[in-house]
Amino acid sequence: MVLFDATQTRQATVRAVIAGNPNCGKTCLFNALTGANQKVGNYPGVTVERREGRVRSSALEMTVVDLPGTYSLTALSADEMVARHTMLHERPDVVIDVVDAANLERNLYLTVQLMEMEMPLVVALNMVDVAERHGLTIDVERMAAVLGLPVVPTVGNRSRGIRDLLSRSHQVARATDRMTRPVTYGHAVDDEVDALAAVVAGDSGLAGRYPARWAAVKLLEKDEEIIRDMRAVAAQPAAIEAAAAGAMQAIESHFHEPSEVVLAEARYGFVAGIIRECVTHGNVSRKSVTDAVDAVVCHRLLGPLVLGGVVYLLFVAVFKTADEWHWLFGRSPTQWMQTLFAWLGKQADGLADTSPMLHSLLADGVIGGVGGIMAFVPLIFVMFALIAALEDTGYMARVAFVLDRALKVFGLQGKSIMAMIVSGGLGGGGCAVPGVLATRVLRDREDRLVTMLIAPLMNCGAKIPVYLMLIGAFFAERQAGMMFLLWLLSWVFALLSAVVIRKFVVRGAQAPFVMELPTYHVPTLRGVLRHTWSRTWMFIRKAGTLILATSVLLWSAMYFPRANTSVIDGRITALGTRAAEPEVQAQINALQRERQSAQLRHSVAGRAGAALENVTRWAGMDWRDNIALIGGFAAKEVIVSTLGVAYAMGDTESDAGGTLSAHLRSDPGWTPLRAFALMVFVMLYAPCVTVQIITRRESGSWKWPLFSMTYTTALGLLMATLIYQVGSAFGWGV
Amino acid sequence: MSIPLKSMASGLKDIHKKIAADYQRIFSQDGQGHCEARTTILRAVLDREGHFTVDELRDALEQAGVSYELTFLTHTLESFVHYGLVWAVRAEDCPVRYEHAHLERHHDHVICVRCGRIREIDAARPQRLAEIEQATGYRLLDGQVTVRGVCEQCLAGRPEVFPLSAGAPGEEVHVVRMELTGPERKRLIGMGLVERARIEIISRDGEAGGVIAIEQSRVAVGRAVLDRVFVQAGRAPQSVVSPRAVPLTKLGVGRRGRIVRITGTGPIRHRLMEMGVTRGANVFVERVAPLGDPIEVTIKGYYLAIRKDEAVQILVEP
Repeated sequence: MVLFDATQTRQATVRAVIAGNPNCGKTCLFNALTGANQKVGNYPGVTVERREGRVRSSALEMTVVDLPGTYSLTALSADEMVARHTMLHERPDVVIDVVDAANLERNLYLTVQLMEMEMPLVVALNMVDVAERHGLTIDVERMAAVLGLPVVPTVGNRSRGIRDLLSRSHQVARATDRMTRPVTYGHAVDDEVDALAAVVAGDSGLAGRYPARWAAVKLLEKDEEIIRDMRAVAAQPAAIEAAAAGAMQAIESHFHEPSEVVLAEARYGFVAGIIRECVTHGNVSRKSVTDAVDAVVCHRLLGPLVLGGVVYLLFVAVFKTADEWHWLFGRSPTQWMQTLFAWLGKQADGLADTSPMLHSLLADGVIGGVGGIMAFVPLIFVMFALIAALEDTGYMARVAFVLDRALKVFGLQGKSIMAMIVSGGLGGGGCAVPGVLATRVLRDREDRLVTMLIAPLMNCGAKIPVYLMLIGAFFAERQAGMMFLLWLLSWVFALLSAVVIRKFVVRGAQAPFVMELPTYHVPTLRGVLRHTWSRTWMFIRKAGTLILATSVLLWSAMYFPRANTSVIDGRITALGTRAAEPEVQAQINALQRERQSAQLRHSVAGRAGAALENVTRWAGMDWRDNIALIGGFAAKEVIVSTLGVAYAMGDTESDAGGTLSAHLRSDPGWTPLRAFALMVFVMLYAPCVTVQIITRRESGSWKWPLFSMTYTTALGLLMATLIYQVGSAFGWGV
Repeated sequence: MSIPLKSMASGLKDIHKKIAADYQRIFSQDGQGHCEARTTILRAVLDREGHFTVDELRDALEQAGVSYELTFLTHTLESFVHYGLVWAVRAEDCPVRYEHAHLERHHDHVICVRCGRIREIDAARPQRLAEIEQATGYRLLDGQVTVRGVCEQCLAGRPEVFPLSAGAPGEEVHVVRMELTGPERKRLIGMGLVERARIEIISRDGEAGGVIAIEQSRVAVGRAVLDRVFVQAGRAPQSVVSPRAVPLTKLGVGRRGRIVRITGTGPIRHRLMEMGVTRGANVFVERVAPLGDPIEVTIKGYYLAIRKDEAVQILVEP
């Protein structure tokens, strides 16, 4: 790709990108620039969020892309790769480099790298108010002169300096003769860089592909991507490599340090020079609030207590707001969603007699499936909002700090705890759907994948009714103890799985853990809400379509082929005339349940359940359990109700819970051991379809949900079989 | 300097006979047994030129049709040493080598610690001994010097940068790079095995491993480590780290230090550098996390949390 093609640069719309360090207020500034005109998506193939927005001003239109926050532009992480490729290949008309005025030295390191790339730059000196409070005085004009770039002081969360920033960005984008000042690294290095740049510029294959001086610097930094690219396209790669090796040796023999270290230190030297010229320190002590908060939050004893409290509150807030707190006309938001879909289901009732199949498809398949997922929306919204708030304040980094050591043992890191808790790690319900989404706080891909794969092992809210039903039937006198045991087992299995997955599947050394602990900020409500809404909307749109497809698929598996129920139908019709009598009505209901059960047994799912008996028999599960568990692939919520149908026990959930319990207790085929093995299987086996789809989206590949499904089911089967066989051998609970 | 042993003149045969006779006499006076066998061994020793080990002597005797127990041979050779008939060249980690003593022909040895080759050196003894007598005030009687070294053949067969396992006991080297991963790497980095660190190979334990001294501390390491740590002979060209430098993990809470070196390589170095952890930067250790890891430091005016695994790779001067 040719970089400096003059014909392409003058378009009606100015394409701007925002770059900067994490925690520099970049997103705040992005919001201030674009207002509500945003869309959020993912970069293809990676899990990096792409946020794009539009600015409309009188003069001309401008699109803005908010790049992920990075500390540099090496090609070592997905975030950096995205940022770098955007610079090199999308060729934005202007790059708005946001620097945290209170943390200039490290922030300007990225600015220097952007200058090396010879990007059209505007520096947004953000959070100048915070810097002032810290006693820093920055001479903006001097800084602009030294850098050779426009520098605009801004305060992102108060929208200060935005108009100025826009106009300077336009100027830069429109400018025909950009004069970027070359970065100097000191004589000894500059000579080598210039000589190598001349060789690069002289190569017919490389000339114009990259800024020559930048390519030279990257070659000296042993940047793998550039070296690979150079070997592929250069006319004389050997000559360039020889020149690079010579330059590298010259630098290394002069400084006795590897060339990439010399260059990084030279950049910081350049930055230190700017700061000496432009910044004066006052006598105000810095970061006093952050210090005071951290003294508690990161304290040896208080820190874990505070963390425990925050995690508990998060959990309570997510699930109580969504399910139990009836603050909206006596119903929780989740119940409102459920009511809405129940009402929609009723609308389809008219079809029940004329076209029973269409009715079943609409009511059970479409509305049931999509309604099931939409019920998650309030919950996900609250979870996103709270996590966004925690991230914006800067507390999330402290969570990682406090817990890192404990989770490191299992190949995870501190922030993984959020996903585990949201997925149900506290034992009182939860959901792996927001849990998998909560892994977004993890920056490292490996850590994220492992967390995503083990989060579904937690006891989510949908598994609880299964436990309650079975515990009620077989362990009524040890209810609390059993729940505790199941909670403990879920953590043991999850953490051990993490170790194994880390060792054999998601390999690679743990990423170096070097993390900024940002100073605390009060998050703005608007920022949090906007962030939350865009993420939730993406969830609704993308997940909704896939959920629809899978629900229809599962519905057909349980609906087709139709059983021949003419005998039962005949009996029902015969009784139909006397339906007014209560005992006859009861008979009819029983027959209807029997019909449903027969249909289920006859369907694809029923046959699969029977076929699976060959395997599951060893774990004590028969075809009825299997059908329920197959249904559980769609959502664990349906396990109890499907089991009810399979035992012809009536299909409403509340109904099934009670009577099914009693029925199973009296069933000679059931033992406490069988119930326990089944509970362990339910705990472990395949995450529901929604989680799988979310995992697909978040991991960027079908490989991971498939792996997740396979390993959890295998583990579940293994454990259930082990429990059932060992228990039977010793005569426990039979 | 070195003068290889010249071939013996045939006249020496007579001397050998005389020595043998002398020995038999001395020997019977001391009342030791196996007189016959010992004389046979002595003849064989006197017939050999150059240096030999017990094993080599046994093989030679076996070829000549006599065989002895190794312990008996060793005992006999050591008794020859006692009577001054044979000299022993002893060096750490090498089997003892013997040569028959030539009265009035004193010389010293250099021995290659890798292949065991020995060369004799005439160290201009008279002048040197006089100097030593003057310097110490001792009247010198006798003595032999064995200097350990690596022979030119071994040097030529080894690249400039070689794994520690190709080094020899007693050799002083410095680390060029490490191809270790995981906990072993962390353990060794924690002990100071970093680029440019001075290492002395103390001893080798055959193929199993060995003991090395990293700067001042001794560490026993396995073969895998010896094979993966690449070194160069001699000290590092310029040692910039002051002896006071310690890993960041050792600095202690509430203490300030200046970074003098980052020893890690690859991604961790990049990561640290982009976060502003560079030579010359000041760090202040704020606190340690509740479970003892990671630690929090202030650097370039902001807070940084860093795992101990990473922090040991940062050397600071308090």
